[in-house]
Amino acid sequence: MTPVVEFRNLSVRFGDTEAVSDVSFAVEPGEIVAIVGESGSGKSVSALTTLGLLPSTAKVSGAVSHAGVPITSMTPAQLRDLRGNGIAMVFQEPMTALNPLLTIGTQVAEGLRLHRGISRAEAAREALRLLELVGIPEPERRVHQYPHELSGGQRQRVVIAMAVSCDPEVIVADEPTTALDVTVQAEILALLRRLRDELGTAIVLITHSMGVVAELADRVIVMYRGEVVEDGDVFELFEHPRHAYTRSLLDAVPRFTKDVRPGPAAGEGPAALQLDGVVVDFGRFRAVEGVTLEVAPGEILGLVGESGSGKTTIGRVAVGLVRPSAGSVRLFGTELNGLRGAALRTTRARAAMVFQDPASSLDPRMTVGDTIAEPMVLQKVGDRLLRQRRAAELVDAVALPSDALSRYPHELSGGQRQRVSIARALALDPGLLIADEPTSALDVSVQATVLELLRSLQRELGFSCLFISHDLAVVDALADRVAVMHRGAVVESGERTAVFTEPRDDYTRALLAAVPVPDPRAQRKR
Amino acid sequence: MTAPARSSADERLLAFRRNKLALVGAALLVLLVAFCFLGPLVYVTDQVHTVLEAARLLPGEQGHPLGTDDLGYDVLGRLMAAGQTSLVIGLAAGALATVIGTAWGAVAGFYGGWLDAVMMRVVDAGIAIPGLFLLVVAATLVTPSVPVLILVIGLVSWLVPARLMRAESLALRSRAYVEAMRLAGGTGLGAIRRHIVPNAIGTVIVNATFQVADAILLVTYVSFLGLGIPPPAANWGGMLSGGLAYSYDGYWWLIFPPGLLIVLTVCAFTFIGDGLRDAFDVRFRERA
Repeated sequence: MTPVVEFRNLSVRFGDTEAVSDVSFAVEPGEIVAIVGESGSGKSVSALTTLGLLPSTAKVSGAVSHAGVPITSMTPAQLRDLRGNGIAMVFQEPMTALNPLLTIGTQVAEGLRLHRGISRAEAAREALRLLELVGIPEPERRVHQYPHELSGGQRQRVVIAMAVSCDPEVIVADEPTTALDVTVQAEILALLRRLRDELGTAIVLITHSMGVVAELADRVIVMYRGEVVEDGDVFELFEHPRHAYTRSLLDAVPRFTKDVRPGPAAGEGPAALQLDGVVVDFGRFRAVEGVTLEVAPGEILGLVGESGSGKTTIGRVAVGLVRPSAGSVRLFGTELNGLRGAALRTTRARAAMVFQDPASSLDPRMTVGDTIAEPMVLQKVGDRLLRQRRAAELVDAVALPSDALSRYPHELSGGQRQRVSIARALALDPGLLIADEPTSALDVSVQATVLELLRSLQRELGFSCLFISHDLAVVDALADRVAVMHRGAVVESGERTAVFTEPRDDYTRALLAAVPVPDPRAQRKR
Repeated sequence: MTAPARSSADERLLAFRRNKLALVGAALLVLLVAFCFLGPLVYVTDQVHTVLEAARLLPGEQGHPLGTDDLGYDVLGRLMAAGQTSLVIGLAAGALATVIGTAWGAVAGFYGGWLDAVMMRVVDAGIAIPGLFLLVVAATLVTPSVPVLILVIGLVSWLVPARLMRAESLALRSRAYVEAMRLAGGTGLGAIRRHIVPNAIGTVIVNATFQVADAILLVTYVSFLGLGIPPPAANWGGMLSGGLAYSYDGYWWLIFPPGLLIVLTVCAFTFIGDGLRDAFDVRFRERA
């Protein structure tokens, strides 16, 4: 049997950097091959080669062939025919993969008419059938809708419908579920599997998530710094990883543990944060609906929820960045509502925040040293020398080299930037740290080290922490107590082990069931 | 703390130098400044007293390389003196417009809400009135002098930078580092000063070069209409309009030299602006 896609000694260079070096593997018909790796491992570049989508600056050697025909030497006309008919692509972000000005029916039909040359009416009928195939409810109504009227998961289904429309032999899916919530992710993965079973389409799945790999793949290719370090059957690879990098990748994946950790040292004084019946409206949209929760002194509260659940808004309400329309917010016993000017500034300085996006959390024009010292400058703490000394201590505490002080953010990696962000947050010795998805933009191995850092700092300094995340395993690794948010309300809260092992609420159960576990055998049983 | 802080300044310089047109612009500007400010030290002429018996001499006659105008002023020397006025007004007015516009736009964009609405309606209203019209009105009310022209041109041309800066400010105010700073007890004006304006500096500087070019043109227009700085002071626009009266007599040396210098100066600043845009773009090209 000829492989549908075959890489033979493929190398891709951009200027002096070798993005992909000497990669060889083949994808058999109907096979799901996952390419796993962290950012910069060359996994996306390899995938783009199969569609001839590399920028002109790339220097390619070796060959990628589709059904025995080398793609790397195809003419533009041959490439157009290949894309869609032979190999189709599903991108990470469904919103940008669809044209916001065209109805989804038109967009699905467009590919059909281009590649199959069928009439408008036939294409419309075929589009309807495809939308039904990918599980869009009420396709007759949906074909007339625009992308913004669909949810993220439905949009990704439309993109998948477009990908399978011309019956390709291979679908290349580049992080197809990374932008989606975990419950939606589970549905999309199930859809991809079903399409493979029904249509016999091979799938090349590019992902950074070992959980997704375990759920879907037949075979796994692990890439590291442009090279394939391991290639093997999914069960074999998860149970007996041969390469050291694969092992470290698997070890870094946060897993649910049933172990009982020592609880927080009981702190004294008022709760670090107390929300009582908080309601937040953005115009006519109610983002938070009567939330009551408390972060005790010295405790880490994990706030879990999917996108749009209002969890980020809660974090912002806690420090007065968003004002609630009703309810009370107390920071160390002081009511934030009604505070203005200098009084608000001094009160909220007792809390600090670590943000999600390492790219925007640091001022690109300030050195790391200045960034960390900024809160002390604002609060007029000490003199210049003392602040410099403190900044040096903090850089050391977050395990960055001391020469990082004079560096600029663009010289740091994502994980290093988050460390700087944590150091800045700790500069004023806050009683409460609010961490809003601090690791979700990081690679899994980096995520593990940042989480470890947060945990050890918290143990050492004893601050309270509101840890906001969509990732249940991450919250499980860190939190003492957990609160689950759904559609603006807290549906369940309690001790970590209680919530995660004996969830009482239906939504919590659905959330837990949808988490991809990095264990192919457990995953297939579901 | 020993490792050298490799700022992006070097990369920026590199990007600027890659833009050949920008290099041409920079070279032109250096030559023009040298011509206007150093030229008179080498080529001394009397630009105050009229010499009517030496009026309208052809280029080359009686030791006047570019001839003389209708009042007997040496044209080459006059180009230098006039250039000083044009460049000074252009640079100062451009700087004034940039400063006012940046501050106005930064505050409007950062605070948003009704303040933004009011401030930007002021800008809209200002843009609706032609700047040239305001200049002409101002020139009839007060006698134009260099400071007056700087002030008036600065006050009519801050609107565009204000709009640009507002857009930048709107985008930057929700950056996490701005919020982190506010959480640590920073004030709004502090955030504008420490984070918003420094991070918009690329846009501001690029626009400033275009503002200078525009200001030089505005001085030219006004002077051409005869509402510029009164004689014996000179500027290129005034020379152009003086020369135009004799265009049918074939006195080309009264028209082409100032016209050419105006074109060159405006081009120089525009090219530099283009180059700076490239230079600052490098910083926004996020590293993966």
